[in-house]
Amino acid sequence: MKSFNTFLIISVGLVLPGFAQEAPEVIPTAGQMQAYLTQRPEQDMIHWKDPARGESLTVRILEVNDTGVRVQKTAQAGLINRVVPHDTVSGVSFTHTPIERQLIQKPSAEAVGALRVLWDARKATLDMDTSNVAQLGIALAKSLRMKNETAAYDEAAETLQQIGERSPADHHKLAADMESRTLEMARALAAGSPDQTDRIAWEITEVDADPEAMLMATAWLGDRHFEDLKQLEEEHPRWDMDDEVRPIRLRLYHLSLDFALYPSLFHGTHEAEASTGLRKAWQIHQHTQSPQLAMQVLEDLAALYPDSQAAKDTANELARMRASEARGAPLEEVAEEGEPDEETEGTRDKEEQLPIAPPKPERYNLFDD
Amino acid sequence: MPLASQHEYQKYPLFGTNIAGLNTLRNHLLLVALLSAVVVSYPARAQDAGPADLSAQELLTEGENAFNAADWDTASQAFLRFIADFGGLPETEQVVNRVKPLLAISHVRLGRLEEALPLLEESLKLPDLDPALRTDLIFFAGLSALQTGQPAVARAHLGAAFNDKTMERGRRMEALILGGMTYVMEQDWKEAITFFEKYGPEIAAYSPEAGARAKILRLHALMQETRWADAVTLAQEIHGALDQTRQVVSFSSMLITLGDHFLEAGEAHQSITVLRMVPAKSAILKLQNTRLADAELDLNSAERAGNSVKVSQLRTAISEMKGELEAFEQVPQFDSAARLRLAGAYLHLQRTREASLILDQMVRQMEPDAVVESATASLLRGWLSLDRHARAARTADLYMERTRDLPEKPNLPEVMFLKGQALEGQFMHKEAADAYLDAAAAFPGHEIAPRAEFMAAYNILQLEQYQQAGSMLDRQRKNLNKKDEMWPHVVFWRAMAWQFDQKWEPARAMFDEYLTAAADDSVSGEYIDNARFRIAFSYFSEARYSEAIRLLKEFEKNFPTSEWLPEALLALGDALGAEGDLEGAGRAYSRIGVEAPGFHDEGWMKRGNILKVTKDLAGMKRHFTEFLEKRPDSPRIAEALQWLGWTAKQEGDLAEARRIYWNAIEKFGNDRVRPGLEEIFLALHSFYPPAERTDLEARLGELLARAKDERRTRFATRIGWAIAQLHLSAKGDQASTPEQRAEKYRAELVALVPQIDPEETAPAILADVADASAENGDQEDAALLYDGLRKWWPQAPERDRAFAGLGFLALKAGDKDAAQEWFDRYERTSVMPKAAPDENGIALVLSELGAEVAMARADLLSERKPDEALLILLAIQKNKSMPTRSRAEALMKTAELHASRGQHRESLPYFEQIYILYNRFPEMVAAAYYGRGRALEELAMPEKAREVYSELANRPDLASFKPAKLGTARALALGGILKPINPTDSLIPPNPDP
Repeated sequence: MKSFNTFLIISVGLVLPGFAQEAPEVIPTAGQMQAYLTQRPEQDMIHWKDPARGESLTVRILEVNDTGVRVQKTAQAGLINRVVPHDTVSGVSFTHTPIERQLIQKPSAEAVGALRVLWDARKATLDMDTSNVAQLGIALAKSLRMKNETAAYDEAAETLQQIGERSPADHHKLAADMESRTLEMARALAAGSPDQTDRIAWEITEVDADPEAMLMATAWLGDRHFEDLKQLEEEHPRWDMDDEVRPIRLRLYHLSLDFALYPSLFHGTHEAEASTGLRKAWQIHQHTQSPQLAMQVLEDLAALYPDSQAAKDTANELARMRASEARGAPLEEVAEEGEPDEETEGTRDKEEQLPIAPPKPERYNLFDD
Repeated sequence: MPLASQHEYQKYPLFGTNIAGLNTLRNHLLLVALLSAVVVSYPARAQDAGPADLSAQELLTEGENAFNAADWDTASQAFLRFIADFGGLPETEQVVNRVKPLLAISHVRLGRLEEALPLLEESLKLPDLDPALRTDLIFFAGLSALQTGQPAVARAHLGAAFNDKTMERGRRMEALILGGMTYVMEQDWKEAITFFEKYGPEIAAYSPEAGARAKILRLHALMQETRWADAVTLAQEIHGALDQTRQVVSFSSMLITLGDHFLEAGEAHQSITVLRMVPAKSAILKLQNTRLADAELDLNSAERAGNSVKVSQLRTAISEMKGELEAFEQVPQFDSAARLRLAGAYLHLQRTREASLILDQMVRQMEPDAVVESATASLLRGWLSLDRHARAARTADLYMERTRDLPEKPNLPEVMFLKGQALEGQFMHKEAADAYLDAAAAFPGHEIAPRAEFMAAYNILQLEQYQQAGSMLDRQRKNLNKKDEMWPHVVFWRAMAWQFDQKWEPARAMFDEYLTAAADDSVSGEYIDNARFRIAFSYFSEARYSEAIRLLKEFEKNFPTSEWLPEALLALGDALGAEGDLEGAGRAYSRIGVEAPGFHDEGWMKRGNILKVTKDLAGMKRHFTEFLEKRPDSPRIAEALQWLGWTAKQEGDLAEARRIYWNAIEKFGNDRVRPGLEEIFLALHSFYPPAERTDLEARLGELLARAKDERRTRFATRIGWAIAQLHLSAKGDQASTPEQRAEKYRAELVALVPQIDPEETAPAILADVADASAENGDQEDAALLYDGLRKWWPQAPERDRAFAGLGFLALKAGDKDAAQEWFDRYERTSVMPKAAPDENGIALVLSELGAEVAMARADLLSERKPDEALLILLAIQKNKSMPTRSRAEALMKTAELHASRGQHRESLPYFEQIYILYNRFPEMVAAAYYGRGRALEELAMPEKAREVYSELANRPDLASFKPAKLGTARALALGGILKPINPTDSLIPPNPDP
């Protein structure tokens, strides 16, 4: 280091509590969050309607309710509690603490309690143009969706509706709309309505506006197509000899893979979905007995998502394949596109249903095969 | 085909693509990133001369007032004038010392940093400087030195600022970042890295946004220092908190550079790891706009609150964010820069599907330009290499659509050609030919034109339109000379078109033309053996055997490894045989190698036939016995056995013939399904005269019992089926009626059901057992068997029976929709010939089963859409290729349908036609008479009806049928049976008055 070192010997320890530390990974309970409301740093702002009242007031906002904004501020005399009447306030701003940011950025079913506490305490500010409470509401809706319960879906829908109707910010309205679509699909999934889920999922792929919705839709459609592929092959074990079935099977095969690869190709930083998708692609290649392609996918999985569960689960298989390749032994003597399995045993007493292609998309769809 | 590998995948020409403006933007944005938190605004006003003719006090007052009002220009002019007019005097020294810092600050505020720096440094040396003012001066001195390209000087001042604990923390943190920046300016990357590694956490602790800025600077330094692995780790860290990063655009640009590096270094996975972090342009815009919107809300709030410091900070930040957004929006190819590289990385790993998916999305989202043009063409090649022909064809259309208005479309000729290939891959030969012709017409001078023209003709040839294809090739040939790449292809395939059309002379002439050219190496010789074989074969086809023999022998000699040799040897054998040289023929056949098993076995059978012609029974026996030994898996073993049996019979040794068959049955009877096996079982029947039928039955019965004991299920099934077939035959069983025999047959087949595994059962047996089960009313079993048949034997002709059978079962179960679907599938997939659609668009499958299905369809429609039903029946009646009985039944159904709708007059001619035209079906004829009589009665024409009934009653050949009895009764009821007008025999009509 050069001369700059000489003065950079001081390490400033002025770290505001609850502000600068790394966000904790532990998700607080509703009770903990309720308690935290009174311990948060005093960094929220109250903006006055009357300019004569001067600068905005920096406080800790505990709650906003019908009577006003309930705040705390530490003064020389100690902690002061006040309720600021609505008619004096032009707006409020909440400074998200690391805990709050974590809850917003990583919604989960476990976070519902804590998020609900924050939302309930602040949702009265939803129509204020300075309020960022919509972010909390959307995170709460996402977390509620992840609970996979009817009541939670209803609460999520209501929350999103409030944001859509009351938030003055267009980007918050848009985010709520996208989450509503994802929620609709989650509902259809939970209701066990595959046809309806298919419809919504295809609609989502056509709009392709929200990564989370796309990941959910493509995961669903990928599974559906792979299941259809397996069922079709079971129903038509000699599909490759059947001119009528072969193109249908080919379409299912290609779409299964396209859907499986979508997360890693288009949302590659969503590690869980991307690695799961690659594992699915590996399963498809395994199913179609394409060992070279299967190994390629496992190589990608290991290289791109080494810490993922999918990579760990398939590590032995990859090692086996690598060893086999190193020995010069064929991975498995099966054609890439899957030869008919002469030894397939048994038949299924099942009504035959050839899968039907989705309705023709009205606009471009990556999965229009 | 000569051009079959034209679509072989080529690497995308992605690299070397210059993404316009990206580097410039990256440099600009990096600087913006560095200075983005500095709260100084520079007005654009030029420096004027200072105010003149004012007193010292007036100048001071004006300057200080302007300074306090942040009117830096006026302040600086006043202070400058003051120093110019009154400086250097001992009495003003103190005042000048007071003015200098203010002037320095005014210069800073005006952006006149070069002028500000010496003043700032001078001021800092002044004694008794106000501490607050000192902190400002230190910071501004650092900033001015930095901005005027004096990093070392800047570092000293910024270090002092950071160490000044009285300074506001935010400013100290800015000093810290800018201090690190001085190393960046000096390109001292190692120091910059060390610096930011050490102080980055502290900066982040103060503000995540400032921390992100510091990290981006460190990332830049790491990349410059080629510490690539560390750069990736840091990039991932920054990406993890992207929402706290204001410099998303700068960061994304750096990611692209980083990804590029790994791609160039051949580290594709690492490149993907980096490039996948680059957000889409739309996502960046969304993120930045969200931040901008938030900042503007904060600004409103600060303005309302009158917080001038915050207002100033926010205005600067908003202005910079807008500037960055504006600059970013000017980069049209930002998304493609990342996506193309990502696709390139996947291609490097030979992941064509992955690369194609990325490109597919990319080319549709981008505005059409040269990159889109090239990438869409690459995408088309990608889909073709994956045999995704439909997608490839659509991509070709997309290319045309999106590049329509581009001035340059260098890939258009190839794209048009590849569209033809994509259509050809879907067996859409007509459409493919049109696409090729379009390509040739659009680019007549392009090298692809002759290929396209040829491929168009070739696709027409695929449609068996030989004359049209020939004409197309003739036209093309006129414009080619031998040096042209396509000449040999065009000439050879022109000859083939003649050959297919059996125009032998012109075909030979054309082949000769090719061979002459190929002989002197002036054209490709790839067709030489083929052409020689075709010429020889053409003589054979014309029965000009001597020429054929000479040429085929030459062929064998000259082309011993040709793929056409087996067929040539077979033709040679046939030609020699036709010329009476049976020995030579036999030798030719015997030279066909078993590697061409079809030709080999055919040759073997023909050799056997020669032995038969020469009456060499012993030789035949040896020959076919050897065949069974050498070719036990051949589908022609039944034929070999048949000849062995025939030989034994000829020798009068029926026992030997039987022994051969029984041995074969023992040997092959439990084999897995393969063509020809069942025929062995049926052939046995011919070795047992009617009188010995019971022996055959007994032997089969014993064998069946043994097969069951030994759990040789396939064997047992075949024997059971053979026994049923035997019982259906009248041979040796004159005692039973056909109905009794049919009943027994059904019962025996139905008894096989429990042991049948469709996968292990020949389609013929499955179909027979399924039909028997259906007739027997065992719907469930029948459905399972039909289903097993269609499932395991999709290419067997018997699959027709499965689809039809499932349709009939559905019909019986009242499931009309399902029946309709099965009948559709039957008609779509039937192996039987199909009639061209008639004037009503009805295309029938020309078989008895086809007629049954068509009539079942008519039944399905008869209630809801009777007119459509009638059209189907009409189609059956009119089509002379349909079995006669089916046509008669169609007439009958037509008549009945009219009658059931009360259209009695319309029904009359149909009833009449039956008994005029179809006397070979007496039961139907009797019903037709009766039906016509009923219709006439309905039309209140009792006399006419009585005539018809009487005619029926007068037909002794119909007397046993129920309609005849009913007709007779009606005739009597209407006044008695009329005598025939022209009695053909002496039979007297029955008593009219019983």
